[in-house]
Amino acid sequence: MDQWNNEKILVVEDSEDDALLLCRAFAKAGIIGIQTVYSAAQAMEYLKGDGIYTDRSRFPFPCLVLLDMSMPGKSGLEVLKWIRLQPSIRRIPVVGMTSLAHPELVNMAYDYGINSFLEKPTSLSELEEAMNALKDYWFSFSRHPECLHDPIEKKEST
Amino acid sequence: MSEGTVLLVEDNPDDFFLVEEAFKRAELPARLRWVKNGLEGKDYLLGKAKFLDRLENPLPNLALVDLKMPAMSGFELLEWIRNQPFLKRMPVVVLTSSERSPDVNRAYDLGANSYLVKPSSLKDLVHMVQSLRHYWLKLNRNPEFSDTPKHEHHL
Repeated sequence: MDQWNNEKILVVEDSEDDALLLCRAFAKAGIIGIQTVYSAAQAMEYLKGDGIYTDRSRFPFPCLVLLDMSMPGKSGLEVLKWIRLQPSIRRIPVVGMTSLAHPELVNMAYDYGINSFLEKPTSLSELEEAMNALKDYWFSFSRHPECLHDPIEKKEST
Repeated sequence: MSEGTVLLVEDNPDDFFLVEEAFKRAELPARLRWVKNGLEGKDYLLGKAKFLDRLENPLPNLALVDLKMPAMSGFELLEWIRNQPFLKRMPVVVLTSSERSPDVNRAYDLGANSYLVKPSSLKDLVHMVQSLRHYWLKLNRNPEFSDTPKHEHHL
């Protein structure tokens, strides 16, 4: 099967342990283009290409954002809302993830324009299976929209 | 065990036949319902006109929507869905023969959850349907979008 999308995923996950398990599952699924950030603020900085993320050859603009929706203070939803308000990156597919998907949170995420919502499996083998299915669907079948790679005007740094 | 209903909005009977065949070959335990354009899709989702019977025409877990259709296009249907009080949350996946970037971009801008291009062979369509089933009908957590959701949040 042809693959027309580079498998570049930005993982936004405040728990370092969970991020590590996700990366391991992705590695087993054969995805290597994973970048991880650990807070909503870092996610926005990464997507804007600001701060330490200005070098796009080291920190490429992702094709998909895998967003932890159970970060403190509903900050997963805040990142989602923020993305959908940025004219040049608002189309990027965002997949939400939590270990316990309360219907209320799931509803809200879709209201704010999440593309898909997954419940984090509890066992490592199920997590690997889920990441495999995610890779298969989003990178072998679903087409991705164009997002500008360095879309947001940056102030001249002095 | 049934995995619910998939609504296909597609004006071309040949394409419907191929998708139906792919669903069978992929042994999809979901019910496939077919409407022929955006207007019929709207009636189906509202349970109006010939779709009054919700047992026969249940709200789908997923809508697969073609883009170029007479009467009401897939873009127009998508825009309409995203403006309905609860229905707006429903997962909508575009299934079209267009690979044009402007179409992909516009679909996502209007709130498509994902965008699939119809493969040219039935074999590839079966693979696509298998992946779609695994991802959307088994892995994905759906929102509530019936007329009376159990959990409502207050903004």
